[in-house]
Amino acid sequence: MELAEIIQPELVSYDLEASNQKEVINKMAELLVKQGVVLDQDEFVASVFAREKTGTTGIGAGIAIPHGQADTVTASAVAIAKLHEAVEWKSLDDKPVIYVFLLAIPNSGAQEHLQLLSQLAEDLMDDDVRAKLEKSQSAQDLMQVFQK
Amino acid sequence: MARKLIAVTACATGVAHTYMAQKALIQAAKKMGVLIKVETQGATGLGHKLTEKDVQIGEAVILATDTKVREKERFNGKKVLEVGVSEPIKDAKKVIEKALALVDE
Repeated sequence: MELAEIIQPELVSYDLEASNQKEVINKMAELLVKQGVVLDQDEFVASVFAREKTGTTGIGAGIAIPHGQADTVTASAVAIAKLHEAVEWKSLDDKPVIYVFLLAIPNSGAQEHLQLLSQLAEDLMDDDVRAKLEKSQSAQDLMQVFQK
Repeated sequence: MARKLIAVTACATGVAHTYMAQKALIQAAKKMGVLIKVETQGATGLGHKLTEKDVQIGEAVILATDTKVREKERFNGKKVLEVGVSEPIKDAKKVIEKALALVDE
C-alpha cells in the first residue's frame, strides 16, 4: 500500500480557521472522531499535548507533525491541514506553523499503516515535498503532495 | 577520500522524529560529500541495521535519540556524539560537522 492511499479526503482541510495550537489540534481531532479513527476526542487530544510537552513537533519551515498515541485510537491515520493563518508552535526554527500533519497512533494492534506514517514524516524533510507543499492551493493539492 | 559516519536515530513514539532525523542526516551528508549510514530504531523495528563492518568503518557515531538506544554496546571504543533526535531535524549539517570534529580533534 502506498502513502497516498491512506490519506482520506475527509481528513484534509484547506484554510482551516484556528487562532492557536490548541484550537488547531481540537478541530483536527474532531475530524478524526467523525471518521471513527478516534473514539474519545479529549483522551486523544490529551495524548497529543503530553507528547508536545516532551519537545515541540514544529519541525521548521512552517510544518508541524503533532502525534497522539492512545487506546482510544482505532487505526493509524493522519489528518492534514493548511491553516488560514499561521499559529505559534515553539518550532525548532522559531517560525509559526501553517501546515499541520496530525498523526493518530494506536497503542497496540492495528499497526499496519504505521510504516506509512513514518514514510510521511520522512517525506516532510524532503526539499521537493516542501516545495510542493508551498505551492498547494487546495485540499486536492495537499493530498497530491505525497503522490510519487 | 570521503569521510564516513554512522548514526542511530530513535524517538519515544518511534513513528515520526526517528525517520525525519534519518532523512535530515542523509540529505545533509549527501550535500557535504560525507558517506553516512543511519539505523532507525522505531516502533516498527530496526531499519538499515548497522553491521559489524559498518561500525568498524564509521569514523564516528551519531546517536540522535530521545530514548534508550538498543544495542549501544556495539559502539564501545568509538567516538560517539550524543544529541537529541530534534538536533538533526533543526540543523543536520551542524550535527555532522560536530561528529567529524570529534574525529579530528
